[in-house]
Amino acid sequence: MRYNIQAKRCRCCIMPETPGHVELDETGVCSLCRAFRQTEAQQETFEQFSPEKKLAILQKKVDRYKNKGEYDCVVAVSGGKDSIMTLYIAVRTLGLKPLAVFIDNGFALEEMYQNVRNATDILGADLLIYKTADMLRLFPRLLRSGRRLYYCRICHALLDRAVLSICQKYGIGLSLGGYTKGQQYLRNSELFWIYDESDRNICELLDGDPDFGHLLPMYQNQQRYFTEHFGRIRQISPFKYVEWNEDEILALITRELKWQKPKRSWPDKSSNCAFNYVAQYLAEKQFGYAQHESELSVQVRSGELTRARAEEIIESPIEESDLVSALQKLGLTLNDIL
Amino acid sequence: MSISEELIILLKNNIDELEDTDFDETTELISGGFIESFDIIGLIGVFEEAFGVELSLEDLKLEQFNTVQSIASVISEAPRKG
Repeated sequence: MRYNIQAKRCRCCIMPETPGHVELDETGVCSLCRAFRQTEAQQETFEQFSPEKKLAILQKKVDRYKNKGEYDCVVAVSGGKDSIMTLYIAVRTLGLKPLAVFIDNGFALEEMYQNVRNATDILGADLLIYKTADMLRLFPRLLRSGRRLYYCRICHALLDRAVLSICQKYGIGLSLGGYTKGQQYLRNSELFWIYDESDRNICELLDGDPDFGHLLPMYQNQQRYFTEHFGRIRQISPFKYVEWNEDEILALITRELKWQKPKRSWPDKSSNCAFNYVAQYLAEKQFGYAQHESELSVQVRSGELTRARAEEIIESPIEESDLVSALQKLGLTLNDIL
Repeated sequence: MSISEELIILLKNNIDELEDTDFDETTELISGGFIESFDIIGLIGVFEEAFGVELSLEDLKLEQFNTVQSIASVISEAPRKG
């Protein structure tokens, strides 16, 4: 049985109609696409820079961190295509000496481990594997509460904290992440109400918690927390400067880095962790949409992805067996989230 | 020199993406893809130094940094450094 939520979507991008947040006009176009057209029509944007100029800007930024220590940067690698391509760009395009960091949140797929090992072996990069049990301990409590929470946001904060702590420990001032244009979430204001509600709810749950109360400051204000603790570490997304093309990336990393697509991951052709099935199901059910829809829609608007391909991705099936498998690892059943 | 004019100079000097770019006080800096959250955090210190004000991350909404016009408004309303 599939657990995907059916939705009426914008005919230009794939954002679902969500009253009060994403409105479709009489032609079926969403408010975000209409605003995007206005911005593009009015002014020069960074997107209009030539590829050569963008790459020159990126090279200038990263060159400031070269040869300052044992490593020039950290590259957080999940084993997915985007992070593996980012590692490739760091080494082969930008000439950096990175420390690859793989964080296993307890739900990492076996193929992700192999992809990371292959890529770092071939590129000659050092690899640090950090496995945390935080999610395995924290998520059951959160799920049992029944509160509206965006689990990807909760997990990302913990992973970012881990990666930046490693940067600090090794004296590395630069962190590269394989974030696509659609994942530069500061610009995706349609997600802010989801973040606000999720943050409020998790703060209420963590307040006074003997095991996880120490995370409260982070979730109360992530911007302030990360600035205070890690403000000196520069974070750059190379895909802001380098063209992202799904087919070309897959061809290159398969050919040169022995990358393999996981047998089961949501969405299609991703290497997201096994808990992502649960996170996405709950996001659709509780909020109507979340980061995946937003990311894909940004990529459609920027021309990196066709709407048809974005729709195919977002409608990747969420099967009962995938939900059950992830929940079992937490000692939970489907009834705990339905 | 107005706050806006000075801001444009500071942005050109501190943001690689804006160094050779023609922009004015209404150009959308965040939604136009020129600056990101990390840039803003760095700019807060630059603006505090240049204008002698205190800008609290706690009170700021990052969207207020989308145009030179809105940044100028934040700076003109910010408390002076003691």
